[in-house]
Amino acid sequence: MGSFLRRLILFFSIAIVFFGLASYYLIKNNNEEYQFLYRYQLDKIKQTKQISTLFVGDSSLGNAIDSDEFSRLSSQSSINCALTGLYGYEGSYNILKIAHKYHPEIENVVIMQTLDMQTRPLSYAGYMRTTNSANDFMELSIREKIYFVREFSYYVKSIRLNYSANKEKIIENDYIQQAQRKDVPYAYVVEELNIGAINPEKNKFLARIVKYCRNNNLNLIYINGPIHEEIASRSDSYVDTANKIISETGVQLVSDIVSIKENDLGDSVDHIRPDLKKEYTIRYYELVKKYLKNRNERVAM
Amino acid sequence: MLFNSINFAIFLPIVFVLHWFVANRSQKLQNFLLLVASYFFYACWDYRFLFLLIFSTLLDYLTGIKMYQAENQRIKKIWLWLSISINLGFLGIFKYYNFFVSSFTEAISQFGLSVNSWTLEVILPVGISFYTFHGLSYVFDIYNDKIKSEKNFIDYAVFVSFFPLLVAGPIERATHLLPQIKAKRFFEYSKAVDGLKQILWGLFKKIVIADQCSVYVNMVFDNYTDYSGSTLILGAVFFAFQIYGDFSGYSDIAIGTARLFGIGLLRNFAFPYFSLDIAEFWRRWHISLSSWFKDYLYIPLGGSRGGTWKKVRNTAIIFLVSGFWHGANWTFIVWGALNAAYFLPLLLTNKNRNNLEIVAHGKYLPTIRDAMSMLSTFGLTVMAWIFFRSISVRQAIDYITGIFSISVFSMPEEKPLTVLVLVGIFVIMEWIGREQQYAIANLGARWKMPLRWGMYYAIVVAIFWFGDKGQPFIYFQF
Repeated sequence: MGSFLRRLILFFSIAIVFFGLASYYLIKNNNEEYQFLYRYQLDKIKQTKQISTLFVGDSSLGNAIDSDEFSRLSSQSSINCALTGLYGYEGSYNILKIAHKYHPEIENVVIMQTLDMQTRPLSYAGYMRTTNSANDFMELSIREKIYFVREFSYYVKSIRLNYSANKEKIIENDYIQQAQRKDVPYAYVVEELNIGAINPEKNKFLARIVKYCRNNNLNLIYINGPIHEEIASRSDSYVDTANKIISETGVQLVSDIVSIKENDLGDSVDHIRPDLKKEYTIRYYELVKKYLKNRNERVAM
Repeated sequence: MLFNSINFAIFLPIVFVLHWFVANRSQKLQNFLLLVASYFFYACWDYRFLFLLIFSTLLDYLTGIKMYQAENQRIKKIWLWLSISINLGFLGIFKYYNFFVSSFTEAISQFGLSVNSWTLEVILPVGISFYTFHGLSYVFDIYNDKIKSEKNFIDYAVFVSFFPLLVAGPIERATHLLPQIKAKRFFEYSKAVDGLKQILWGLFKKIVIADQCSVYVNMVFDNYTDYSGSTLILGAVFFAFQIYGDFSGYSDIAIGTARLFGIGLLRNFAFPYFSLDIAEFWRRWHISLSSWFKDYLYIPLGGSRGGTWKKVRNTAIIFLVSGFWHGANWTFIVWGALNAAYFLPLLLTNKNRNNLEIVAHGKYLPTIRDAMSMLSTFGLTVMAWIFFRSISVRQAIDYITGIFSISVFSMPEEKPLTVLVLVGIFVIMEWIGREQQYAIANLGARWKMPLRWGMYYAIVVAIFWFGDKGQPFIYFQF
């Protein structure tokens, strides 16, 4: 029995170490669409000289906020580091940490996620894809580490699926170029958002973002991503409940929902048409400006 | 809890360690642990049906004792029929009730009459066909004085619900499994390693072969009117590999898992696609079910004794019942009938036991004649599988009609090169290992450890590489 177990442990140890490292390397370096975007945002963080306002979130953010326009409006340097919904709060958390590491001067962190984010499962895959050091792994609880490892086959699968799609994505105005609307008819499902679908665990990493910002004296603002007007109008009770849950984490929440008219939709129900990005940036600026802080203000106080 | 899920990968080592390190002082404790683990395993599907499983276990346990204690044959028979009626009653309600009602309604409507359809919204309890047959084999064996009734409920309950075979077999016999459960078990290194290898091969068959084939199969069968005859042939051939990889893969995992606990289960597949005729195919495909039907239905009906008519009747019954066992749909019945039609000429010409040996035994390659025989047998089974896979007999006929069209000579619209390569590698590995219990049982046995482990790692990589979110096994629905 002892010999059997020793060999078994040796077999699996070699497998875990070798395949773990190999898949980690491949995930971080393959050219699949999402990792391409992640690396693009990472490079942007490293190359930007100064950041006052950092935007983190998913594609609703990537398609809604023009950081140049926002910088102009706020007279502060801002940067849009949107990933996608797959990364969730988990990816936003890691992006925040890495951005803050390179830019300790950051004052405001605006997190914008699509409205149905509360209904999605925890994204350990998103967390794994954005880890930057062993500390990111170590800070997880034991249960989370198990979930993290459970995603192993998902990571490998995603490499396989994207290995052949080795093409660079076109980045257009800070984010992935949108598809033609006719090519993505499935992205236009107009459904009421349902309270019953809310995942009570989803805010785990949002709570960590809040804690991180509090510990590092960062001004955190949460605002929901824009959404098709029909979905917004049908989802009042969902919005109230989701906002309440988000507020409970202690984040400053802008509760207003920016709805998108049918004609303003891009390639999804939560994507603004690219040519209207500046216009919607102004709308968002109007909503968040009273929450923004800047060093000058603080000095004045 | 699927065998190909991370939950099972956590569950199995825990039960293994508890079985050999915590409960190893007493065989009773080990059995109790296996029972609790098996019920937990089953409850992970749907805890409500656990009560049905326990009820079914209790029923056969008690009727077994009553039958064994019966003073005369008449009382024994009463208990036997009570068990049969209740067991098959449950199976009938959960699995066949809606089929009978809707078939009756349809038949009536042919005469211009209409009746209210009294179909029920019932969920099929997973594994009901398997554990019902376990229990029935036990009461039949007591009735036929082959075994004594089991007094220890825990031991009996483990026999019925031992988790590796609970939901999709192999369908065990009390004569084979119960003595192993009752005996003191000792850990054997070679058995445990063999078990792990069989689990690994089972996972490969399921995840790399069956699940990869299923993508193409689903695409073709769901849109069969859009494809040429050549694509339809590929779809049907891939389904043959899908169902084999799926079901025999499950059996390999089940047998391998049981071996980790020192328990040997019945062999369920013996490289059926290398059969030289249909009779041989049925000796190699789902062996535990075929032998169950042979022992508890075919032989009691008279077997091959009696006149030609009786032989034909009994054989036809076996195949039709076997088809119906798979599911409440006419497609399965036609599948069974078609296999009977393949089998009967062999039986009637006394050629059904011509091929009892392993093909090309001790040789690298088959003779041309053997190769042709294997190909033609495979072709016949593929034709029958079309009925098995289709959602209606109409669809199966249309599918076959589509194959026999001029478009069969065109190139397939979809060229699944990856799947073809995988199936090719799989067939080669199965051919190399066809004289063993499973393909990789002896593969690399004489190699040095790094090379041998390299092969295992290659299989592990393939499993992860092609692994999707765990897809359920086809046979869970039966």
